[in-house]
Amino acid sequence: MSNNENFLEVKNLNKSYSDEAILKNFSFQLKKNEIVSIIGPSGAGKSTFLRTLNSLEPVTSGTLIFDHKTYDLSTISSYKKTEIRKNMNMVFQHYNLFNNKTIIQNITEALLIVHKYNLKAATKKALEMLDLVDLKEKANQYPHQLSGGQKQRIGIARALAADPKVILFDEPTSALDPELIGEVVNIIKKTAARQSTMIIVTHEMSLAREISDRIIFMDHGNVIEEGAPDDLFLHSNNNRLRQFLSRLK
Amino acid sequence: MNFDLSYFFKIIPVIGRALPVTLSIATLSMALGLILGTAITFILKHAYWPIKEFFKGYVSFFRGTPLMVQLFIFFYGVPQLLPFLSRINAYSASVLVMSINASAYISEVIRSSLNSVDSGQLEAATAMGMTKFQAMERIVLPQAFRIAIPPLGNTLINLIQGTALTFMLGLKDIMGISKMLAASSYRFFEAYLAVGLIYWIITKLASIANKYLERRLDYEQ
Repeated sequence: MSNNENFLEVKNLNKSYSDEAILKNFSFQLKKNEIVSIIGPSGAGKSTFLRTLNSLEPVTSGTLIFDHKTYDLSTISSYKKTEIRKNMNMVFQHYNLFNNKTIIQNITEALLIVHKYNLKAATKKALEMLDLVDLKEKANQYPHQLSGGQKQRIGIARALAADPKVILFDEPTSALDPELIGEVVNIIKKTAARQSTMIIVTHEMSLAREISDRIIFMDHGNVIEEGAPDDLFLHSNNNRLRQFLSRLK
Repeated sequence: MNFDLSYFFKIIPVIGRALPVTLSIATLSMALGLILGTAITFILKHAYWPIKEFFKGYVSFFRGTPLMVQLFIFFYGVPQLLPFLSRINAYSASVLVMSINASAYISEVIRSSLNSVDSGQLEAATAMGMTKFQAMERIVLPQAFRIAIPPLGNTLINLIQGTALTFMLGLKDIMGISKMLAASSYRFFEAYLAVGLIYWIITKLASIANKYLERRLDYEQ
């Protein structure tokens, strides 16, 4: 595969809640080893878009091309959903760790059940991931014993463990206390070096700017502006984007 | 004071001999009630509306009427319409009615326990490629079960005490035996106090077992 080919592509994506359109004829492309951040005001449809990629949200219409396969997202079967999800993991805003499993079991769970690792290989992999997020000493504790920042670092370790082809970050720092955001941002930067195909929905502009190859500004279910970080943050003439950025400062 | 202590102690083992009847009705009803109640929870969640409405009515009726009335309706009333049921013995009738009664309460317990496991975990599990069944079995149900233990313990205790009503169908459970002893000896106080003591001990043991199970399954300590 040439490096310029789209590795993940979405076409004609439409989604509405009751009568209100959330995503309007949305399209999106992602290259291998590309990191894209999606920014924009609340209710713009950023998270909804992300969640349509792994079929957590049903859509009215839309086509997904991922890993050389084409899927009709409006009629996708459970089997096809699983096929996508095996290669596309997600980090959630509220971590969603399994409360009845220890930290290491949180990471080994999908390796054992979905990816059919044996216990020894899964444990080895999980410890490697815990090392990456600097939480090896928490291996045998339970999620409720961790801080929010630590939980999210485990969420990231869990998403990385099966070597997915893409990782989706759904507002990974939005539920955190301000003083805990830094540790999670640092881990995301660190993982970017290792797993470099990512889509990040975030309100953390410094993260988006520093880590992304490309940034998309979304509002009302549409792409308003997209481009390299500096083009958007420093040189954009788009009023809505400038308004949005100025409100954050 | 007229309390015959030696009679009191003499009848405890006599009443005790009927314990298998009492305990087997309670445990069988609990086991069947659990299966039935869990099934009803899923029916109420997923079935089409006529079936849903039927089971809503079922739960409402069996929670809204006294167990004794239910026992009488089934044992004395229903055979009037369905004569083949008149051959059912008091033991089977008791187990059947008490299972159905328990299932109505248990379905409510299971429903609220499932609801209290936050849906994000189910979402995370399926987003990793687990099937919904795997996610339920490995992540949601173990947590819901842990939450359900204290209220299920109460259901079991209610069942144990509810078995005392089955003597009204002529069953020789510990209550039935006590009543016979009381009637033949005129020692009412001794007989009923003895059986009360036995119920108390069984209930106490059941709640100790419940606490133990709750602690064993507690990952939050």
